[in-house]
Amino acid sequence: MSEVTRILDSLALGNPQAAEALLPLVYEELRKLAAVKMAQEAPGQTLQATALVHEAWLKLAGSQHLKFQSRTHFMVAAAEAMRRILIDKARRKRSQKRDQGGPRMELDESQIPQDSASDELIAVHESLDRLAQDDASAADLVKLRYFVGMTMPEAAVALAIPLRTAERLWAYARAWLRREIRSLR
Amino acid sequence: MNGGQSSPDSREKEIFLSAIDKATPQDRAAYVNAACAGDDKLKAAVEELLRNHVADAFLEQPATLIDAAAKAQRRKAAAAGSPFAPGELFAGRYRIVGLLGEGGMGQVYRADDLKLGQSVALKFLPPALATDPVWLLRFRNEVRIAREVSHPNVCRVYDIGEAEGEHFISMEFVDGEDLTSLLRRIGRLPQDKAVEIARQLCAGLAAAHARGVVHRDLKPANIMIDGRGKVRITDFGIAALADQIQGKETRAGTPSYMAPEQLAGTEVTTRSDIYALGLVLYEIFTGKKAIEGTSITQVERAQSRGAPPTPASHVRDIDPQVERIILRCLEPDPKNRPRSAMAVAAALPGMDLLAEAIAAGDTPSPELLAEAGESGSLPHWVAISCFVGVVAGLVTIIGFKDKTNLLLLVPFNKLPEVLAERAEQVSERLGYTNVPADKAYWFRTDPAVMRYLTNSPPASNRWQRLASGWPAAVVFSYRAASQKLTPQQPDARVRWSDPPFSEPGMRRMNLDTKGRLISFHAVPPKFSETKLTNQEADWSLLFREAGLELTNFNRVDSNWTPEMYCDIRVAWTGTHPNWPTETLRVEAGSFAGTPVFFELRGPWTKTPNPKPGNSQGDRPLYGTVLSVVWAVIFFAVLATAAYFARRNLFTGRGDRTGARRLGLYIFLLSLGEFATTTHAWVFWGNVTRAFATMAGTAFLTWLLYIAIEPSARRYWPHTLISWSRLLTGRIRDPSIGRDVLGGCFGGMFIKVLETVGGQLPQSWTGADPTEPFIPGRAALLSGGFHVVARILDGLGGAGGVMGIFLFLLLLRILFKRNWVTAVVFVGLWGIGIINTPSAPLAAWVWSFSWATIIVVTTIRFGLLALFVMFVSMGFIESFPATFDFSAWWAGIGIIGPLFVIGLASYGCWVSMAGKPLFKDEVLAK
Repeated sequence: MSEVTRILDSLALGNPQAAEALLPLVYEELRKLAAVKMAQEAPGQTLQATALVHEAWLKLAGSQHLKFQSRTHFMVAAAEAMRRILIDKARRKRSQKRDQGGPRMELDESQIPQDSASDELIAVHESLDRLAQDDASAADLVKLRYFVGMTMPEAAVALAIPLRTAERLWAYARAWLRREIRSLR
Repeated sequence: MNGGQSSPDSREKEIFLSAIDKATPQDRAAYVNAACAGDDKLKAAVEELLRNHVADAFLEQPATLIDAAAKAQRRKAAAAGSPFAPGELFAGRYRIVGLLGEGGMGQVYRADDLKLGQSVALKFLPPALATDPVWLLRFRNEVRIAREVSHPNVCRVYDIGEAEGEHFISMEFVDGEDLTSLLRRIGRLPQDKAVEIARQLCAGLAAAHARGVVHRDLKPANIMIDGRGKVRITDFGIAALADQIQGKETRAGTPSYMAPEQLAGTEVTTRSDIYALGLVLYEIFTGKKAIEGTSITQVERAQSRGAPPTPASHVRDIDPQVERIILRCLEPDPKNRPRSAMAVAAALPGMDLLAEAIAAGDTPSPELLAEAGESGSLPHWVAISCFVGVVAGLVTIIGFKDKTNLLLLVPFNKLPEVLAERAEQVSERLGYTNVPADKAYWFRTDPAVMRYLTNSPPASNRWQRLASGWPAAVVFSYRAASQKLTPQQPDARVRWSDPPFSEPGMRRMNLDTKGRLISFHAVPPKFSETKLTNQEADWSLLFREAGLELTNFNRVDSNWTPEMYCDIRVAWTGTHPNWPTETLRVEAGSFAGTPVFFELRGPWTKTPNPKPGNSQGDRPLYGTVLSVVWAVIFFAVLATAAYFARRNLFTGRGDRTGARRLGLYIFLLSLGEFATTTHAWVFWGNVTRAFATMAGTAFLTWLLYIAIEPSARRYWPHTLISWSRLLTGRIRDPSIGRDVLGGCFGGMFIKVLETVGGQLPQSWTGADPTEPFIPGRAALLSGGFHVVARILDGLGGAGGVMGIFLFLLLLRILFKRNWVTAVVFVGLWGIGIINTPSAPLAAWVWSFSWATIIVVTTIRFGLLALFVMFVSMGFIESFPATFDFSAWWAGIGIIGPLFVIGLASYGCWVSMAGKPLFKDEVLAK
């Protein structure tokens, strides 16, 4: 029995502290998997996050009889891990651009071609913790949808909530994050 | 932020979620106002949330794909070069293997479909297409149609998709090379190989055309040949689209394969593809381009110079058949090109498309059938001897029939108009002086007289009795009324008791052919103001009109009850001057002194003798059961036909064009027939009913044709070749001529057998060979419209043909072999004869030869011949033809045989395929 499954079992038994230990393990697992994938694929290949997360889960659950809630725990942890991987990547990219941009950036930031997508990524990332404080499940949904790239039905299954509830939660989370990000600008 | 205070935020969420369910902005605002109830901070927060509840891209694109979108943008920016590297994963499903080619329509990659583990070709659309919604829609439609084309020689289009900002099509990957590079590599193809490739090209193109898909850009670069030599036509529909989207740019790419009308910008049809096909075939067989040039103007100039150099100028030993078909494809006028790719294939050497389709287990399409192999032309000597045979047969038939022609035996020299005038004269003399508002008249045979003479002792001259005109074997019937005669039968023909003989003012009579009165009926008035006198009429008037003398007759008691009311009834007996040995009885009646009833009753008149008992009571029940059984059978057949028709229509197997034409043909013929025979155009009820009947018949024909024809086409296609050609309107096709001629010959042959067989002694056939009869329909003797109606009826009315053909088809499907079908059919036909108890040997022989001729005609020539056979039999038997041209009706009678001769000469001429009858050198001498 691997470390991850042990923790998942303990989580399922109602031990909330175990979640703290789960994240780094899943993070490592996903990084390893991603590295293998990247090596196989051609350079510059998009990371297929959803596939990656599912593959990691299958690797785990394929041989073990894990409790149903374990899947939700795992998915949430994997989404958080994915979020960190992507943010690291986006931050690295940003700093590269700044370096290339040189002194011009100091003069007028708007003149520099911005990668608006990674800006959105970082903005969402920064507001997401505040959303998690207000409504943890809304934040989990955003992680699964936005960072893992799950479809709405997939995310609803991962969180073990009805699809209709997931859709309403999504509407709320989007409006909330959008309001938050705009109020900061 | 208000971290710990979870209650305001959870209320915020609650209010927000309820608010977005409200239908209108007004409802929403009202709800928020009420829900926040004075909490301005909460209200502001919720309103801000609602303002941010908009359907934009925010968060909707997963962060993991953001990279991909950026990459796609970069790819578009770098339009040139190869954006996909081998090994790259596209759309999460396809691994790019490598670039296959690049054309006006964008780049094509070979890729592995990871989901299905197959190789596919991916074609990426140029951005110009992807951004315009109108073109995108058209593009989807085209791909949808192209996907319907399922043929081994057409490259399959799988799907259309959009991923990473690219629109793409996935399609069958063909492991081979295109025709351009093949030709560049090896020059021209050896002839047998070229024919094989040409055949596959035609098959693929025909399959697409059958689905209404026009390629519009057929060229060697769009033709792939795989490792096993199998041809695939690629870029169906898509190529057409590229042409439209990119306008002149794309045209500039490949104008050298465009038909003149395509270059001119007029309509592009399947025949434009045929032109391109011609160019491709030219190149395959010669290794040279027929038209050089890369720009529109160059090509137009080349085309306007006239036909390209003949293929033979490049390759001397090219098959002349191939050369001819290539040059026909390259005709500048689309009308002069072959009508279909199938026709091109059919013209290639050594092609039997039909055999191939049957071998492949396919149901050949009507077009394929029409183009199928055989030309069907007959050698001159066969065609001409058949024609001569038909004429000789007709002469024989008429010659034999003249010997027993009743019309030649009785005194028959008065025209119907003359007899009608005579009938009016009789009425007038009997006191009916008012001019009738409407009248109708016709000839008929009196079966009672014929029966009487048949049963009389067979003296050598018993039929000679009829030559004196008495008893009257041929009767002239006349009806008149003071209103319009409106018959009740759907065909609206006036008959002896239709309309019912009940209205005052109606009168009817029978005259013999010399104009002597045989019977007279009149309906007495319903109401009379004057005091009725019970006086007798002047009977001598009636006797004089009948050519008799009252004084020669003895008054007896009347014992026949007239149909109409009489206040006085009288009767006499005596003899007819033309036949003094037999007793003649005269019955008459009058009303108010006017004769209303008069009849001559010879010994041939049967005495009505109703038998007592309840046999009359049984009949109605029996009749009801029988009609119920027939109704059930009819509806069962109808339901079955409807089921098959529906299925054939859905699967596209039914020949809609053929069925429509046949239905229309039947409708027009019956319309014409009705229009020429009806007596009651003014009576609207009749007309609508007749129209309903005609439309019903036409619809039934259509339905049955849709239901049955595909099975015939599938299991017995050879019988439908000329039929299909006729239905596609190719009336000059030699096979049609051959089958029409064959049908005429068969019909004539049956009639000759029948006529000659009729001459056999009575002990063999059971029928007296000397018994005279009218060799046709007596109604035709009235001439005019009746003749036209009969011609129309004869052309369409051989309804039994379809029944016989259906029966033969069922046998053929069951037994799978022509000869078994033939034997079983003839055998079953015989069973029908066994049922008739007193069938002598001759009837057997006759019936078997009849069945044999039918089955041989159908198997050897097909449905068209069977149809023509019945049509010609109808014409031969319904027109009373004679060689005695002094007879006034000879002109009417000869129409039938002349019609058959006309049909046969058309068949003879067309079956010789327009080849001159005499060779030029013969004429030159």
